[in-house]
Amino acid sequence: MQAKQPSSIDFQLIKNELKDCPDFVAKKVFIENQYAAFFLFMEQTANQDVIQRDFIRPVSAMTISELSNEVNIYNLPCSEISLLYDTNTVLERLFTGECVLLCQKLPFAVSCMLVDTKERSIEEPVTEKNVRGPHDGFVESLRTNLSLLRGKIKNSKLKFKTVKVGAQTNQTVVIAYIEGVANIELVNGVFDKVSKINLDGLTSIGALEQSIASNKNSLFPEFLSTERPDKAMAGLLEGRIVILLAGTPRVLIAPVSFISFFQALDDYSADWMQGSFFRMVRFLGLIIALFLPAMYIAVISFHYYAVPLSLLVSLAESRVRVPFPPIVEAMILELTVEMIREAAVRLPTYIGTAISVVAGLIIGQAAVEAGIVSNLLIIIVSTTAIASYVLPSQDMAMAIRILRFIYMVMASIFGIIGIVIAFALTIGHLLKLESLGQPYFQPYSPLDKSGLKDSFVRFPLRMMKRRPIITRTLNKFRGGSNDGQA
Amino acid sequence: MTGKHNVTSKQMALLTFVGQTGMGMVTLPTLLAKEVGHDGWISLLIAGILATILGFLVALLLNRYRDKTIYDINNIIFGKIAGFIINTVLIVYLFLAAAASARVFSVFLRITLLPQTPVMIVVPFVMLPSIYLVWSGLKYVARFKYVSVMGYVVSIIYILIIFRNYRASFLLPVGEIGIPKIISGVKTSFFTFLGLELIAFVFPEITDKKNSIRWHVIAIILTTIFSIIITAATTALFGENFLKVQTIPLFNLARVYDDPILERVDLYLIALWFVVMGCSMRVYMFAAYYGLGRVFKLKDSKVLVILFFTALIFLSRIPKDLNEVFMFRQLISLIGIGVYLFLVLCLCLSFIRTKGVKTNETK
Repeated sequence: MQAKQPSSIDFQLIKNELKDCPDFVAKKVFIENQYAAFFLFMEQTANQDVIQRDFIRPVSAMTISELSNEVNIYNLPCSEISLLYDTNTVLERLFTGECVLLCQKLPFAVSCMLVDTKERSIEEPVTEKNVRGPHDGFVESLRTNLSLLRGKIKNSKLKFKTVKVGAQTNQTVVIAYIEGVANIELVNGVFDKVSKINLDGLTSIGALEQSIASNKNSLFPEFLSTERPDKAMAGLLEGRIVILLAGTPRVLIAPVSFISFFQALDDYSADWMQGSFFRMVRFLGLIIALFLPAMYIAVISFHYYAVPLSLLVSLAESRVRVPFPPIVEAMILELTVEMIREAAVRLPTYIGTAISVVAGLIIGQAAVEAGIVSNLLIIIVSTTAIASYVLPSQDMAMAIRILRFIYMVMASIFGIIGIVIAFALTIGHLLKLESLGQPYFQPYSPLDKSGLKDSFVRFPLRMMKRRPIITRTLNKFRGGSNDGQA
Repeated sequence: MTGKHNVTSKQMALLTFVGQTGMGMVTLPTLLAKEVGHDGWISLLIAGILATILGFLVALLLNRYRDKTIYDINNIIFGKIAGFIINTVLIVYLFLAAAASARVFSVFLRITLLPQTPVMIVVPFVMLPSIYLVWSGLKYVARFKYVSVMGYVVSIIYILIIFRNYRASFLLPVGEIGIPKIISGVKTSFFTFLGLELIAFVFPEITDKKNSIRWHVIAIILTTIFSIIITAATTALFGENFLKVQTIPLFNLARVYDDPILERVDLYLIALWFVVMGCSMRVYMFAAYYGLGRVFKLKDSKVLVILFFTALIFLSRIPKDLNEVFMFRQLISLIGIGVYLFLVLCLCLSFIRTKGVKTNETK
């Protein structure tokens, strides 16, 4: 127990620190009608009604000697009470929304968690809708997000490690994992990486992702970001780690492989045949999104003999009116589509829809009639655009879109061999890439036979007993005991 | 956690298999048709059996020393000076083999897909994946080989699809050419197995050495089977007389199928096989680059990789025309056979000079 000495907390220092902070409130009361005491809190984050009822009123009714007795303090009708002994801790607690009692006659300050956070309601994420799964999504409040996870995994083994990051912002990052399922070395590795972040603050989860990624010059995401608690839960159950940042509804899941970005929860909600069908459609989307415009350029520029004879005539008729080489023609249309996409993201929905109609129908048709692009290219570019939106992960879809442009340029210079070389470089890069030190291109290379059951197709759940090898879990079987047995 | 060069025996076997079959398969049926007629597959079978025995002996030699490359073994058996000279010769061989592969790759590219693009622009470009992967390490070179497996699977499926076009009579009567000719064809067939010596240059990087003999033998058996399939299929399809006048029979095989939608399916098959050929030449490139570091104690760096590939590109340009390219390759193949025999000699000598040999107790 601490010695009963006057508190060393410097109220003047606190006031100086919070100068020009109009949201800072220091409500003065007199204990025993003679000793000044202050209830400090931030106006917007503290619940003032509850502070008045459950903290100020009972404290004001007590004497200094009663307040000096810790037992009486802990008996106050507040959910979380702690005793503070230094000025910095008091400041930290104030910024988290707690209310702090400060009195020179007391040997400590008393902090009380009576937070009133303004947060939006739990809704389905706009960018990650699904059909058969739950419709809740993470929100900006970290406490709510943790409670969402806790609500799904009612197990004491679900652990949360907390790290403070941001020299100016002092934000909270939480590393969630299931003890005994996740590999603790990976957890500690993430904890170390996050602890070493040396930035003023993290504006988004993307900033956190870039800070801890092993390859900072890669197009491909090393972490799977999601706003869906069910996806985070699935990751945790597979032995992965979930990283949450206060103030953002997106969380990161790691370690992940290339294939993780093509898996959606609907694949598992439906039976294995339907799930496999969706999965294959997505891979077809990937192939089209990556290769189709580049193949068009290669075939038209170098390998015209590969066009079926029946199509060759109409293609030639369409192309003969176009004054540009295929790469310019394709670039004009692809960049237009990218601009439409970017405009549609920023604009309100009703204007975005109008823009899409104007751009898609009117400009496309007019471009063909004006002889700027060919008919076939309109079909190719629109098919490619649809295919690239099939991918469930926005980060991966973005990487594929950028790669598509590189492939197109390569195809325009070297024909199909340009595509082959660009593809070989892409695969080489994917083979070298790692997510938390684990091979990104698993289960294909290095080969993991059990992992293949959840790749191009999705096997029945009864055949997917093993957790993914990439998680390096010691508890290898789903539903298995902690000693790694099935 | 493994190093960037560590591979398993299985991955090494895949490296050997792709190294042997990627380049050689493109021209092999024609070479055999010229020499053995329609009985090339018999020569291949005999060469395959010999290569398997040879591969077993090479793996046995390496297993006697466990954590040593052939460079270290040479230093032990022949002494430091003689060992250094032999090692330099071996590196020159690897370097020439890599250059020959690069040149053959560019020749095939010119014949099939890019007849008008200047070679000096194409060659550095097609080297990019190799530069990236060789710099990354053997582990990634080996992992890339899994992608090339797709090329083999598609090839086998394709060969099955066009089975209606085969004429078994083109392969009959078996052994018509006569035993002496078949025996002389074994030498040409043996060129197919160029690559079985690669394991000797990177052996310490294999993590599960106890399985290395088994997997090395399996790799050579697979090469034998695959090359027999390709030779028999092309012979049964074209007949020996037509085969004799072709340059790239494997790619011509791809032109047989008349696809109603894709029109020219060969374009895609050939493009896919270029991935396999790239893998094949990369194995030699890595072995040569790795050997430079081992023997001359050169530090692995980006500058060294760039210098290495620049030298390789210029060396690959030495042959003036197509004939010289194939002569160059044949010369390398002959030297390769010399290297196999040298490795067997080392095995014999290892029983005389037993220094450095790991006995069962020390394993």
